[in-house]
Amino acid sequence: MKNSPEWERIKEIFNAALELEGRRRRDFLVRVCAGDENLQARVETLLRSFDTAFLESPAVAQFADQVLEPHRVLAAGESVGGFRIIRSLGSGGQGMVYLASDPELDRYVAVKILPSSARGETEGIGRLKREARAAAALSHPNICTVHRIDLAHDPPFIVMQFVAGETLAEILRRGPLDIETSIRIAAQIADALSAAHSVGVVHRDIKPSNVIMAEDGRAIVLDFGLAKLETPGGRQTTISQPGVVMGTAAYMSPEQVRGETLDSRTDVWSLGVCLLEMLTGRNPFLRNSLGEIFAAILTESVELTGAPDELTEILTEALQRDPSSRTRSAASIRDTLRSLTEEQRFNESLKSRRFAALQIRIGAGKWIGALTILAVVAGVLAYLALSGSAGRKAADEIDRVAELAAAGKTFDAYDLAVKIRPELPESPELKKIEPLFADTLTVHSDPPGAKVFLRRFQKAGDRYSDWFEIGQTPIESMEIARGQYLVRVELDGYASMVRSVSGRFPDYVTDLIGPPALSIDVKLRPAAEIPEGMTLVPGGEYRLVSYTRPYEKPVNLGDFLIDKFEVSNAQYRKFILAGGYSNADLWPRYVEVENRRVQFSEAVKRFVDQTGLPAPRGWTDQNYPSGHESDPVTGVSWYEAMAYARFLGKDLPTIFEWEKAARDGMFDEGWDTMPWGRNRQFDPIEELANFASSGPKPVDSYEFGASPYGCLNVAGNVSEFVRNRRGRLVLAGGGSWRDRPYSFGYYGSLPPTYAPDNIGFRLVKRLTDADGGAADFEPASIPKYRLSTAAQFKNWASHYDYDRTPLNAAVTDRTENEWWVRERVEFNAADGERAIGYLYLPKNAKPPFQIVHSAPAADVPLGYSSLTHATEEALSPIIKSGRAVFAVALKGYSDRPAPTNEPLGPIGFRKRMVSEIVDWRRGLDYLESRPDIDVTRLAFMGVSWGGIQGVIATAVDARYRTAIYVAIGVRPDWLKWADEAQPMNFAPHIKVSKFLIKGEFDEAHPLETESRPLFELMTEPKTLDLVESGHLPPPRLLSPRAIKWLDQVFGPVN
Amino acid sequence: MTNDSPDLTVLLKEWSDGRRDALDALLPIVYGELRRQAHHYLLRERRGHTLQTTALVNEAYLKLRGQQRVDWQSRAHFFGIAANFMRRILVDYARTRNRAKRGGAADDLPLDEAVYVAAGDSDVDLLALDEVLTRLAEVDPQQARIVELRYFSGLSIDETAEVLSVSPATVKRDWNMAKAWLHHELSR
Repeated sequence: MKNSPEWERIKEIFNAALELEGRRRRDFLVRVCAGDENLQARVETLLRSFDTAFLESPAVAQFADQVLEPHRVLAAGESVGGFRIIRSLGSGGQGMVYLASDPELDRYVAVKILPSSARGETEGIGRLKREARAAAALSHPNICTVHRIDLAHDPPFIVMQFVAGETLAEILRRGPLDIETSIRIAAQIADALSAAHSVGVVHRDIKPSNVIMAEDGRAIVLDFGLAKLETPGGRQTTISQPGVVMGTAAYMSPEQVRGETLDSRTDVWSLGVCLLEMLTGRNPFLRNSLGEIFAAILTESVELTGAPDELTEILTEALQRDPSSRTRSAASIRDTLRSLTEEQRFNESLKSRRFAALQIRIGAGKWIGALTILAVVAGVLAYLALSGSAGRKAADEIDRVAELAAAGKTFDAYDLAVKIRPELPESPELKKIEPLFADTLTVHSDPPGAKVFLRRFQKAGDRYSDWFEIGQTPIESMEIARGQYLVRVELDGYASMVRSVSGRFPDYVTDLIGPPALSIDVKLRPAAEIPEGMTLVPGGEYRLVSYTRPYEKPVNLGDFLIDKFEVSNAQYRKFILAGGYSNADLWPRYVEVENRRVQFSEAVKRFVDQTGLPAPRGWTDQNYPSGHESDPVTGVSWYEAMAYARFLGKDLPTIFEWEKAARDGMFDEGWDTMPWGRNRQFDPIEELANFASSGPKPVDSYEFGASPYGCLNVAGNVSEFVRNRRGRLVLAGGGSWRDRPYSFGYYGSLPPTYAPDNIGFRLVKRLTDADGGAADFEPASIPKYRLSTAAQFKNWASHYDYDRTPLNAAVTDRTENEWWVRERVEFNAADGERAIGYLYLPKNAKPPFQIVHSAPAADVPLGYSSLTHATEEALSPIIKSGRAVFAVALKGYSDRPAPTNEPLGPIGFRKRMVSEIVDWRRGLDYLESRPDIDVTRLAFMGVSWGGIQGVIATAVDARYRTAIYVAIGVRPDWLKWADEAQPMNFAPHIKVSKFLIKGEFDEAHPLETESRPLFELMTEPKTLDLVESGHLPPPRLLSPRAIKWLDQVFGPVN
Repeated sequence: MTNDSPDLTVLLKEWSDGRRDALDALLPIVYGELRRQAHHYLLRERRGHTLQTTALVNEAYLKLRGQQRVDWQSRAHFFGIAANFMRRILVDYARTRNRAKRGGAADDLPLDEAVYVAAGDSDVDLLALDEVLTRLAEVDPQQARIVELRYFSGLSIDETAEVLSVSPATVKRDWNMAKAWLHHELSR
């Protein structure tokens, strides 16, 4: 079916117009519509209706509650306690409600099925039940009558009066009520409360959804005395259920939030909030998160203007934060409200009026930290089931558990929870927060009956905790503390298996595959079949997931064995001693050297050590440096790795085998999946893998960094060759000691004779005929990007404009060493936050200093490294060259932790890009205010992701006088970002001189496919300097080039 | 779990070959699994986080495949179907909820007044949207499809493009227009 041409035309104009703003949009529309008023009107209607946020959050978000609480649905005709179900009235957080018939009295009733945790006759429940019964005894026109409570029944249920009507919540969704109606409803609720309070029943959960407007105009309050009864099982289930608590939370009194003892005054507060909402259409405490709601309730004061004095007075008194100041009773409120409606002032014209001028002003209070709030949440939850002093103590401990969990100390949280459990048998409150610190583990083995041991990645003093046995396979859904573990599976006569398992979730969910399920299937083989140092990887279909994967389709793998460790220097030496380099059987007849086919006998002359003997390049006299026998062998080419494999009757792993053993399909866009699971920000990665260090470590280091198949150091230490070739090049992956942790997600393409000091290998032995997907790959294709126009650029660049408001800058800290003084500076960012900058002033030069604005690689925003560490590591030689260096801590760096790392769509991404670059520009504003800085000699220098952002920054900010970009590139999938956040769109518009320093063998941004295309987008003057390295050039290659460039552009330092 | 259920890959293949009854066999499996995954997925979600339905659909798919790796072609097919199912499931939820608001012992429906806001639009009336979306499908079937894939199934622009075998730019343009059109129709 073809759409109408007119529709297509509208679509075309609409989309083009969306790109324009203001007058330009109008002019454009007038021009293209050329007098067709109907067409123009239709496009304009669409443009007006276009709301970026509309439909951007998935529909399922609205249904978290129903999805989370699936209840068995009773069918019509079924009977519960003698009541015959007619139909469902709906489901909600705490259970299903049905319309039923009462056969004895021939009337309709509502039957509410309670969570099964409400069942039973324990002491607490008994007390609760008494209160519920007291409430049930209330007979009042504004209270929903409870006919029967049966907690012994399975499932427990409550039978209530059936009232036809709408809830107040639903009515309020359509907007505020007029004053008279608001007062009449509030008076009825107050009357109901007053009756209940007089017999000692507190509602505790007054909110619009608990008030139903009957067809006869009466307001009927539901669920008296039930709040406590229902809470344990379902209403305020876990904190992890977003909306569930929040709807209720905004009506809670401060003492309720604090988890204190409640009396009738809590209902007065909630009534006040309801009245306010009726009058104004909104709940003044409603916020985007539970934490904010609680903070608002605890700290913010409501001030109402524009309402009649008596109303203002009632509200002011009802909303006193301190319950002892909240002196008005429900009865007194009722009386005042009633007298108001009778007064003359409410003449006809006023009665139906809405108070347009009615305003709520919320006074600012002090900010409460996230931890306090979480503790408060736990307090609330704990309170709801516990009271008395024993209960308070338990509640405190539950708070502590929640606090530990929130701080990421899930092992400690779990241990404390286990400790206090005996005091809190079946505590639903503790159960509710369990998802914050506990997981379930399932372990199956083939054959079954194997013993399973766990070892926590947790230190006691300076050693890791010991192994402990948890049982024999099959182990089904055993509760364990959330955290990272090693798992060992042992069975007599079989080779034991050690692997990692981690239940820690990432701080945000950007992935496609989801967190690794804590379910392990282990295939055990007789010990005799598994050689020492190898581990079994069962076959199956595998599809590559890493970033620079050369192939998209799945490949069928057979079972194979893979080395747990990288091949060590000592092992490789045996190959040399056995004459490996002269045994022609191990080598191909021809090898490729610089794209030429060369006879092996010729080529092998290149494979020599420092003394010219055949051996790895870094060795001397065919010996590895002493003391390094257990380090992985490096300085060998892919050809040598292949020959070594043949020598042992093994093979290099194919890329599929290597990746399956290394990450087993775990991957996410956030760069934080590692072999051992998700790495969370600020985790101690230095205890798990060798990245960003000074050299390789022994191959059996970092035992907790084991992969899902027990391989060590697949991430970091040395990058590893795989068997497949890509065009004329070979591939290596995993990242090395020289790289940043994110390199684990990348494969580099390298010449087969390339033998650097950070690439090694491990071997496989296949157990079937399957070749493991050994076929070679086509060379990568080179993307082409469109050149953006000056007009487009101007439009996009305008997103990065900001107001130059006062900086209010202050130096908050000074530290120094023999080379420089480091000042920590705070200044106002454009969004009102305080930004942080670090300014390094060299001691060996005189002001005004030349200045380099430095932007770090992604390891800083990912939390693997602090900004100061990264800056000093990369730019120390530049400071020592007599130049000042400046770096800005962006939101999310360890200096400026961001509360959540939400997954970003194109718009969110654009916003972040803009706010980050504006923070940089504010940093430049600050530099301009410093007399000791010569901003006419301001250079940009950014590494990797910092350099890529720098492409935009140096295009939009004319204060940069030259730019040095290290290890940058662009990818076609970035075209999905908003235009104004795509570096490709800015590259052609950087006016100053541009200097790209680029590792020829960069695995993260390969030269030909990602860097050259970007370089080609840039205009002159520009220079591309290739160095022999991977992604991040080592200082010896980087610093001299950067310093020379600065010398050339800015001249010598003072 | 797939041991005794029919082979999803085969069913998908048959369905894409035009066999209507394959879809009939698929529907209950996929429907059930999506619900289950939604449940699991939401349990994992924490306060303040947006929901990523792609993961949900993907996990449902992986689970149904009974293995870790994904054949792209059938994944695209699956996402295509899942979008439609997610629409049905969610509209069904909305209907249940609306029913709950009528009549007697109206339950606490926490999300109604909760701000579970990811992008400020959590209060879309799904029943109304379902209706206008059906009308949109008459004018521009592809746009309606894109809304199903994006909004009900949570796919990204790129994934949507791959499922529909069109360019991401096309999806973006259609998506913009569909959003504007639907928003307008809903506010009439």
